[in-house]
Amino acid sequence: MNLVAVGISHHTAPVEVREQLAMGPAGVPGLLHRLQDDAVGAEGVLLSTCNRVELYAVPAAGRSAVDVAEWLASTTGHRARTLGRHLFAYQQQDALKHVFRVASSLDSMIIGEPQIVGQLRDAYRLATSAHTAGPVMRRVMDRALHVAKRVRTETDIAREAVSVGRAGVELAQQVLGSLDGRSALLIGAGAHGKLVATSLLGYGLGELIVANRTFERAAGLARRFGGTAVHLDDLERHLPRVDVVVTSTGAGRLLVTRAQMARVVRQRRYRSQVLLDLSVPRNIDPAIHDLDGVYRFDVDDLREVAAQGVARRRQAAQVAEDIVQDEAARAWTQMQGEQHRAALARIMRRAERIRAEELERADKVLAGLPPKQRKAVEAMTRAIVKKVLHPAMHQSRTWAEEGDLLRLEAALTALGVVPPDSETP
Amino acid sequence: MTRWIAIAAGVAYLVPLLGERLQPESDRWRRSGWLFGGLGLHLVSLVIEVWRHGGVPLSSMRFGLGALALWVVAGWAVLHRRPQMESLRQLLVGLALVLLGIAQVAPDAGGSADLSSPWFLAHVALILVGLSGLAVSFTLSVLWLVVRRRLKRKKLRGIARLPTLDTLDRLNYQAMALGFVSLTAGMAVGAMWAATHPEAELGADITIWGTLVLWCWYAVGLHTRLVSGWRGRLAAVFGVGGFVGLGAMVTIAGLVLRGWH
Repeated sequence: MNLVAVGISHHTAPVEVREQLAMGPAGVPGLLHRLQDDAVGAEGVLLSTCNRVELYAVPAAGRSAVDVAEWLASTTGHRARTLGRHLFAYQQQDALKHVFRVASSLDSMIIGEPQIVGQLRDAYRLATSAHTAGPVMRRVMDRALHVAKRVRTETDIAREAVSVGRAGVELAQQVLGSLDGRSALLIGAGAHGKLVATSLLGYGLGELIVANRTFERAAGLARRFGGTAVHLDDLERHLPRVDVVVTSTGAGRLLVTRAQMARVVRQRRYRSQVLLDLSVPRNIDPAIHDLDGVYRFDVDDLREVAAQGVARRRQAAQVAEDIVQDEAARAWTQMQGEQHRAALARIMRRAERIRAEELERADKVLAGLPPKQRKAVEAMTRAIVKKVLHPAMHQSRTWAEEGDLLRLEAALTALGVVPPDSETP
Repeated sequence: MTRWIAIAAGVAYLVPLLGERLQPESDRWRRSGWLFGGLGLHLVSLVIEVWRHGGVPLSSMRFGLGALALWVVAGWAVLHRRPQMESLRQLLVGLALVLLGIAQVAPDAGGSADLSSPWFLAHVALILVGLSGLAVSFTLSVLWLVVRRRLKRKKLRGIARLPTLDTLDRLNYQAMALGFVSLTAGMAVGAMWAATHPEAELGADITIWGTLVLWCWYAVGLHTRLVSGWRGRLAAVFGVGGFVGLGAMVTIAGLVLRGWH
């Protein structure tokens, strides 16, 4: 088995270079077909996201990872020399491990981000529909998705919040449980407030009310989020009906006071409420946190949760790296074994065909033999074939175990064994 | 022998807790086999106890606490598939271990129940289910107070690993309601049995009067929640207070007065 992974990523190239290579889904099948037409690769999957453009391929006979990388550079309109210092190229088990790391989000800009699995799945789907994902790539991709799932379930890599928006959601969930059908009030149009509101909506928030000093701005934001705009003066009327309050304004004064919230708490019959004050100076009286059923957090709390999340993800990433390493080694050995068995089967099929043809040619001479002697001749020819092929079989096993696939393929070709995809079933 | 089987059950509950502390990366401590193996041993020890006494040894505090511990672990078995319930397991299994431990040193005196009376059996079963519901409610209440305290003090490190306040409050309500309903039914059945057995002379029994006080306590707690909508801290206080009262009553009845009726 021969496998390569070539391309550029946020580790190797700045965005100016990445954007030149990036391509939308419409362009991918054409490029993958050219890979086969130019006899560079037998199979291929292209992953193009904002952080990476990577080609995973089974190179054609005699082609190496460097050849595939150069082809990718030239095909996308670049000289390999100019792009060279940004291109990476892995082959064999290193390539397989790289695919697993990408799928598990260990190679992502934000470790543990969930989008990469979907992007990889889409890339695989495109390659399948373009008929460039053959048996090897299918095994590689299925295994990569399995490893990604294992990493996500067995480690904390995706569990912790690493952004302010997600930290706000996490704190709200810690008090309120599921956010499905819950309501929130966003006061102000600050960047952090919008981030948290976006995250809350992403986690099933049922209703969003937006209040701002200028009603038009509130209306604009409400339209963007699919919520309702209200006047800032009506705040107290709306406070009792929402479960989460997010403030992000430049008002520079308290907009929600303790006395106000004490009334709200009674009206809500002590049902829990989460207040996220993301403004500096703060808009929500810190003394509110002492009220029963009210939990107030500011931007420092959210940053702390996010920072802890980053630290925990780093710890989890170490565990995940071990999983990936283990899976890559196991998968490689397994795939090599399959490759070896397939090679042996090819050699045996060819030898058996020759043996059968020669016996058939000698049929007139052998026809006069009694059945017992005829059987003995057949057994003898089988034994000769087996003994003659034994050193070749042994050597092919050694090459397969050592991963020296180019020599294995060359030896098979020298033996006159055709590649599997050109064999007739 | 039953004591050793009960201790083996306790070990089966305790080993995975310790194992997870010492080897957090190992999966072997998270297998359900520990829980269900422990439950099996626990059950066997109680069945042998019944067989040895020739009936349910009601006035044996050892049997009563052992059965209560079994129900508490069974409560965990029901909840253990829910996410973020690791900390609850530690509390529930810890409580079960304490109950099981006390049971091993508690007096084993007393006769057996009148097994010919289905009323009596129903009374015992319902009371035990009720008490285990209240024990689970106590554990959930403690955990609710711990999580609340951490949020109020802004100790947010690893907070997402704990159950949410809403989940704990909801489960607490369900456990308390189950415990209360079962306790009520058990008391009613017991009262019917007592009415037909005046020779039992239960009028001055501290367990009966203590249980009545507890019933009133939980009735007020549930009423407050249902009618006034109070939840959260008040519900947790009722859950903790009630179970502490229950513990006091069992201790007085079992250790000072030597046996519950």
